[in-house]
Amino acid sequence: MRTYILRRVLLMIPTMLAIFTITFFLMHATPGSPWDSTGRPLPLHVIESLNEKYGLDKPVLEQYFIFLWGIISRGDLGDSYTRAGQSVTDLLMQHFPISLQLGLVAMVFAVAGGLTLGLIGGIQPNSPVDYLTTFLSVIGISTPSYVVATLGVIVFALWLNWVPTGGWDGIFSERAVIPVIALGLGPMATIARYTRSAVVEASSQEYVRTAHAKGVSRRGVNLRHVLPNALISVVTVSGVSLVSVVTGSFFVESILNIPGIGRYFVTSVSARDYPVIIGTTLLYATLVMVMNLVIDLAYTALDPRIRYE
Amino acid sequence: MKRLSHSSRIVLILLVSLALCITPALSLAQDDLVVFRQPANEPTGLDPAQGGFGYQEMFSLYEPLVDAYSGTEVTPLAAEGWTLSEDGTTYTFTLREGLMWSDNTPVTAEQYRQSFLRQLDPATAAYAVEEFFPILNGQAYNSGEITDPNEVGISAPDERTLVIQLEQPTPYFLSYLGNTSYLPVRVDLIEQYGPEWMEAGNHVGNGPYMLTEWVHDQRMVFEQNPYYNGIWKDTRFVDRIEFVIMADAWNLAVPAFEAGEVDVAIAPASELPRLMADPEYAAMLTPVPIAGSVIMVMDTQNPPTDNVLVRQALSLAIDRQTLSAGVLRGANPPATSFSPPTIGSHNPDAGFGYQYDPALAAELLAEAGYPGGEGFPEFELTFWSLDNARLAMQAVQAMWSENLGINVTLNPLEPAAMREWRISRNEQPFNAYYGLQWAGIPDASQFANAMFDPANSLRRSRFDDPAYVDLIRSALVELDPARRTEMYLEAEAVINEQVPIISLVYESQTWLIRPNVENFIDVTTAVGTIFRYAQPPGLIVNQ
Repeated sequence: MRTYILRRVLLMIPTMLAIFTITFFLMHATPGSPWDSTGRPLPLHVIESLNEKYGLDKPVLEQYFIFLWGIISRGDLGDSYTRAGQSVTDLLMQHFPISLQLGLVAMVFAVAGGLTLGLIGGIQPNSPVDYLTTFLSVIGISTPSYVVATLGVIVFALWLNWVPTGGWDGIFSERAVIPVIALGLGPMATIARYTRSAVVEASSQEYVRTAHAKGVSRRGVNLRHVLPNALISVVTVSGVSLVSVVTGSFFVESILNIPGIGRYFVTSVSARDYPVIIGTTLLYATLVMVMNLVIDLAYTALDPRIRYE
Repeated sequence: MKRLSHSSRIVLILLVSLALCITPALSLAQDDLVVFRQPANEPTGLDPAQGGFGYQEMFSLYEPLVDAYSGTEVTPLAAEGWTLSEDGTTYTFTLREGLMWSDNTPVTAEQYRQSFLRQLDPATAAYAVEEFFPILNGQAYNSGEITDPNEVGISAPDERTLVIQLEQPTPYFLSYLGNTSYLPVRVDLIEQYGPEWMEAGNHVGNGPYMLTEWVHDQRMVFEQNPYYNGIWKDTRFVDRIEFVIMADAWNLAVPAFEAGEVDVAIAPASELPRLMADPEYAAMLTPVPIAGSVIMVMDTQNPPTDNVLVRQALSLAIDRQTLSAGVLRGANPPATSFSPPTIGSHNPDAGFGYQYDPALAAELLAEAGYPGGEGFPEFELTFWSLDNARLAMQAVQAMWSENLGINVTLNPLEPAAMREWRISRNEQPFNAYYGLQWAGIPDASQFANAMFDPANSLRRSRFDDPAYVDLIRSALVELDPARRTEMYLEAEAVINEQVPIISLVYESQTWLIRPNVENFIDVTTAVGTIFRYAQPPGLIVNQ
């Protein structure tokens, strides 16, 4: 088991290197430069001195090794081009925790809601209750987060005046309500769908019939035999959603004015802010790899038949 | 029931402690604090060399020598006055007495000199370094031809005297001096703190306000600088300016305004119909002209636009009224001349390029050899793929097709890719592209010389008519203001007639301003939206 984990962790290094390399050359191959806004163009000689200041006048291959060496030797991802005086590490440290907190709470909301809905629907398949939960989760899956966020602002902030229209005051403030719902609703619906079908499948298994035959109560069968077996697929889908939820959402963070990391995934690309592109990509890649490992390890806990050597 | 009594006990304790602890005077002082809340985008920084924040935000934190934005004249600000040598090349400024930085140290002429030299230093890579090129040896120092800063024409013979020598008489130099690039910074602190000199706690300015809080991407707070001793001291009616930083303050601030979280907001074109329909909000809408034009640059040396008849036909076939009112939802006024009305060269009476006359346009196109658009070569319109640009270009495409019978291809590019494409057009032929031109300072040269002087043009329409170039070059250095305006009016008439670049509509913004806010926007200045905080008559927020 320990060797397995060690091997997986070591495998992350070449994977990261490959991701870094591909991202680096892709972004440099994309037309456009970080300087100049869409308004008044900067004179060419200013662009040249900016390139010189940030080392962009060097051959791309040289830039690649300088960048790589900076990461390996100092863990330094460089400075943002669009944020004067802020290093990419600062930027990630400042903004990622906010998205992480929101994402984790949204996932708790999603898992709790999704499991409940899925279980209610799954143990009584094709009943009116099942249709209702299915209806709710289809709505949840098909409503994009920016629609939920916008509706949340209109209803909770402008009509009811319960919460401010946006901003960030920490995860325990009322301002976190709309983003948590907006971020969590989609994963909740997905989890509900997966749970339902897993529950339906597990319910038709021999061991469930046996349990019934042995006189275990309905509730006992569902909680002790159906749910644990249904959890495997739920863990898989939750783990995947978790990564995308904790890295924030461009739309939710923009509409609700949340200083998370999500919007940087998009703005860094359109601004050609190369160091931030690399930083956010590596962050995402790390999270995906770590999460995959965690999911794989969670399987061993959920299903004793699964073992890693 | 139990819980209720528990919570009421807490409330009781709180009330008693409030009554005991807080004196009436203190709570009164809290109420009296005048706060102004404004949505803003996260600034790229507060460095005058790198664009920084908006004009007025920068002028609140730093004070330039002169005020070029309060009216039509340049007036003294940190300098109490200046003299100009007879040959028009040497300015001598005298700083006001007793000026202080926000860390309670005196402002010296040498600090202005160091700040200007820092802008010229090639290592700074300053965005607006061109504005320092009129200074003697400025360009040579920036390009590395000379390395001794003492050879640059800036000197500070004593604490309060700053002498600037120019290469040649430059009538608009004073306007540059009032621009954000000429703001003084504390070079000693930049060295001490490195890139973090702009953070709250480290930042020191000489303006009427000072930075007291900056939580990136969330909020920024300015409070009155207690050591400020300049002439805007007594027009500071607001104690705190709170910037609510948004992901996109230009488009997303309206809900926060509706919820009462900010005192002003930009109303994007997409929100205008809804806001206008509501009498409460309609009364708070304030349109603000900006000294900018939405333009289409044409290649005057590449067929078919090398033919002036074609260019005139293309311009005359555009219904700017419909474009403004219909397509852009009334957010931008239609262009009546190449440069906007707040710029001295605005000349709607000369040339005919700005009428809408489809019949004449068709006639001119026929005369150019393309009757009914027949035989018109392939024509590509390049623009960045943002909403307004796309709407405008689609409308122009339709108008040309309907009025002239020509079919043009639209070529939308992603904004960053468009920049590179545009730079590559300095060498390569093109048909037409979309752009914006703003005036950085309130001067006609920002439209004529910046766009048409082949030596420094950034928008190459390759309109290199020698007579025209001579005219704008001599207008640039003309010392008599009346004669200068006349020359620029004449130059503009040439552009309106020859249409190497077409103006479609003028830039404009519509603001929502709460009725208790006064003097926020000044529409008299030539560069457009200037927000007032301390600048006379001073922003007022009635409680």
